[in-house]
Amino acid sequence: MSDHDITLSVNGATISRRVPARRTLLDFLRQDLGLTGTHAGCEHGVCGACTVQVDGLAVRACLMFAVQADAAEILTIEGVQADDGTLHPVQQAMHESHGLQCGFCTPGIVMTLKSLGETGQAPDRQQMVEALSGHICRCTGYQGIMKAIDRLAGEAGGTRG
Amino acid sequence: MADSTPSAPRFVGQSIHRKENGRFLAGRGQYVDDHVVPGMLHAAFLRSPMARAKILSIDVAAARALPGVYAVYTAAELNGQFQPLKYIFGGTDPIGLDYVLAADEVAFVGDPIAIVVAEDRYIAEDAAELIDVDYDPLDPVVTIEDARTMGPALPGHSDNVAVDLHVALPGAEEAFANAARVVSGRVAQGRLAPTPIEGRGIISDPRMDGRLEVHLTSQNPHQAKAYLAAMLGMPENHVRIISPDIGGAFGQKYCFGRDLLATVGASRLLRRPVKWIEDRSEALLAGGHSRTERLSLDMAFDENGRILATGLGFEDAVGADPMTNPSGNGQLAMLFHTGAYAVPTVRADVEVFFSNTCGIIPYRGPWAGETLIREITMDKAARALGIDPVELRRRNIFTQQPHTLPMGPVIDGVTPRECLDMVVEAIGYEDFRIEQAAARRSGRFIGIGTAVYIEPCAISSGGNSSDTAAIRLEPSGQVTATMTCHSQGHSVETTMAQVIADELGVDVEDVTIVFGDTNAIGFGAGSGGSRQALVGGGAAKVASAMLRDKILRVASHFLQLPEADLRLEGGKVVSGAATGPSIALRELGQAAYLDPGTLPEGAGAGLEAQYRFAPPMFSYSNAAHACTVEVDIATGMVRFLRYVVAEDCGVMLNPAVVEGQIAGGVVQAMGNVLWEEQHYDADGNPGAGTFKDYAMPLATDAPKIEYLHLCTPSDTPTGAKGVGEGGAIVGPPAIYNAILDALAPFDVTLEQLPLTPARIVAALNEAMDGDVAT
Repeated sequence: MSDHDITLSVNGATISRRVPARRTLLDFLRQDLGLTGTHAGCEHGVCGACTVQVDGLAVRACLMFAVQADAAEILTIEGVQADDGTLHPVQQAMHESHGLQCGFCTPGIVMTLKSLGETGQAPDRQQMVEALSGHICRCTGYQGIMKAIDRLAGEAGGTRG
Repeated sequence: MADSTPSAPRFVGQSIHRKENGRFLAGRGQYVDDHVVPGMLHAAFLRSPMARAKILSIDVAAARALPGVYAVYTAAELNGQFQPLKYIFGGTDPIGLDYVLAADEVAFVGDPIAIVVAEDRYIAEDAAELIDVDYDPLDPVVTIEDARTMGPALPGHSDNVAVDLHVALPGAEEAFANAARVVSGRVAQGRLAPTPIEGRGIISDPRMDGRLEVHLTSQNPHQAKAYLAAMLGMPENHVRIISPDIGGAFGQKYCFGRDLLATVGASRLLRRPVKWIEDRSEALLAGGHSRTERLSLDMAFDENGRILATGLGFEDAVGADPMTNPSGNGQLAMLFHTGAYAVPTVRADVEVFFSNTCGIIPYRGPWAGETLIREITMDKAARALGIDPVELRRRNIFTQQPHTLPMGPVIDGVTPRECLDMVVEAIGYEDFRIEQAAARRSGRFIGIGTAVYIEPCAISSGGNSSDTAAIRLEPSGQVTATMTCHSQGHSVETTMAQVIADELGVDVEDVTIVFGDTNAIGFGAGSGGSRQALVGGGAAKVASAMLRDKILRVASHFLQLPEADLRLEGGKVVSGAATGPSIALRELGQAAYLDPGTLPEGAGAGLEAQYRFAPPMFSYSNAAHACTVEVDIATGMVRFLRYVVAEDCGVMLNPAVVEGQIAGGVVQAMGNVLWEEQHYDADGNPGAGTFKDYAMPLATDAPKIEYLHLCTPSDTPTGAKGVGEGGAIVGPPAIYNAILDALAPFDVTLEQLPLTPARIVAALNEAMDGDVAT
């Protein structure tokens, strides 16, 4: 098994590490960098709990090797809140809509909904619902999360969606 | 006990935003897998690929030789540390497998055979693959029929019988003999994996002084502590369980599985901290299953559609290593299967067997089959008798309370008729029938289902008898409550703070709830069984009132005013007059801890109170659900149109939390009825090893749930009743009934859950001799 040197940006900090080729980005973030907000739910790309942003796009960290993230810009849930503690609008909407219970799937959902808003145009309700359908939440029956999406769609486009 | 609330509640009853959200939204929750203990090693298991086989030999040499591997333990090295295993809830039911690792025989696919401990999980899994086991396959006992007819599934057992209970109350046989009509319903559950998104996990840390510190995904750390100490034959005060943030549980994390025990055993042999985190495949194969039973119900009716008697059949194959007592679900089903209906007499037969499948665990309303079979048989009876199903329910719901069930429990303070009327009106039942008739004429098949239930909640006996709260006003004037309640998403950091803040006249932000560490507080039940608002809330409310009394006594001394003129408000003790004197809780806190000599004579230093609440064995909440669906008869696909819930859970501490619990249960009910199934084939091979094969509801599947609330307070300190499980108990028959109602023109038979598109199309084909779908 080969080891590889990688240098990448994680939440704005430049990180250089030597990693085994088979180490997933998920394990690299959680175990090597201690960024435990990214969660291992299924480790085969279905549940979405491990979603992070790689160069602005939502990616399942369990399906990507750390070595593939060489030179990439990674944003994890720990980097979403503003330095002064202000919640991102997605976090704020989840908070105010009772969009979480146990909190285990929450970081991945926040990362996915947040990434939708960064492709130039604000997403409409349907786009957000379809993106959410790539995540499994076992606690909320999705009711609060859908409310959060309604709130975000309302903020973004008034009557749109 | 103090008896009056000082002023109207300010926080209880409000949907305030959750105090715990901040850390979860920021990715700062601390789940078991997020903890790192210095020197920690990592475990992986070798598990059986066969349902049943003799182990002829195990060769671990290559695994042990792999660099980075610290140990490979099999039954021979590990099992001797443990007493013969028992059920965590005690009782006298026969045990399935009573050892930790499989020794001479494997008994289900996923049965743990060896534990590998290595410097990281990657190496541990590599090594597990290097273990060479020689198996001699045996015929597995998979189904209930297998269990009835084959020899023992489990080594050391003489047969497969776990429970054999038969009850026939006086008059039951006569009632059936004399009935105008007997209607019989049958349904087999689809086997569920409870599937919290966080799997089970443990860090077992044996200390050099003989103590054992365990981080555990547990709903009930105190019971886990007592159980672990007993199984290891250790003094209980040497065991500490820390159960931090938990990523969902739904009953599964009530139990101390054999793999969790094996991790403890390995850590003690190695004298090193060892972490094991269940992966998803392990969770589906060996993390415990539920809803495995097959149910039948005979209902005897008189000529007016009134129930004369019921006869319940409850059969189950509970696997090789059931973690919950095999008699528990059947006994509760016996007691409560008549639900909200006045049924004069019953008979019941409960037959439970061991099998070569994964053992059962508790899951959100573990006895829920009784409500499923009763409510779907009511709809079947309605069709058979030519009476509308809502009308049939109304005729039979008991009207006098207290109401004594045929087998003894006495129910009072419930509102099943009111809740049924509420959902029927809200969903527009009569209008829907008109719409349905029109739709059928145009080839669309829509249906409406209702279901009613009474839930025995906050069941309090044995280890679940009581919960406690120790509340102190700190020197800062803020409040800390250490409690035995717990949260796997239950929001107790918010709801318990709401209860306490109202009693003490402080802001909810100034109340901190501490739980999940057996070193922090004495024995208590934890979460589960829809108990926390009632039991934990009751303890919190009474302890706060006791503390309030002491605060008022001390304040009276400082202010030189009678206690009766004082109240707690805005973080202060204030007198009745608007401009009267007051004293801040901080001042009282400073005096109580830093200058106790200034307190009134006999008051004692500090401002603290503790109360342990042991409620009656059963409390009762109730609900009615109504939903509408459209079934595509060509594809068998079911689409939800509306879903309405009317729930009476007494006083709601936080309506958003209540609705969140209902919603989670209802959507799990959708999974139960429509998609979720861990199916075993005839050789005992499980069909679902990943989330690709175990289909759970997604956001695009779930309709918007509409909630209606009634509030009939319980006779407990908070007036709350349980609400955690109800959605998953009464949701399934409401959904099932809606689908069968949609398909009523075809007279289909659907007796196996889940009602997948394939099963619906097959049932339609059978009913119509293949004329419906292609």
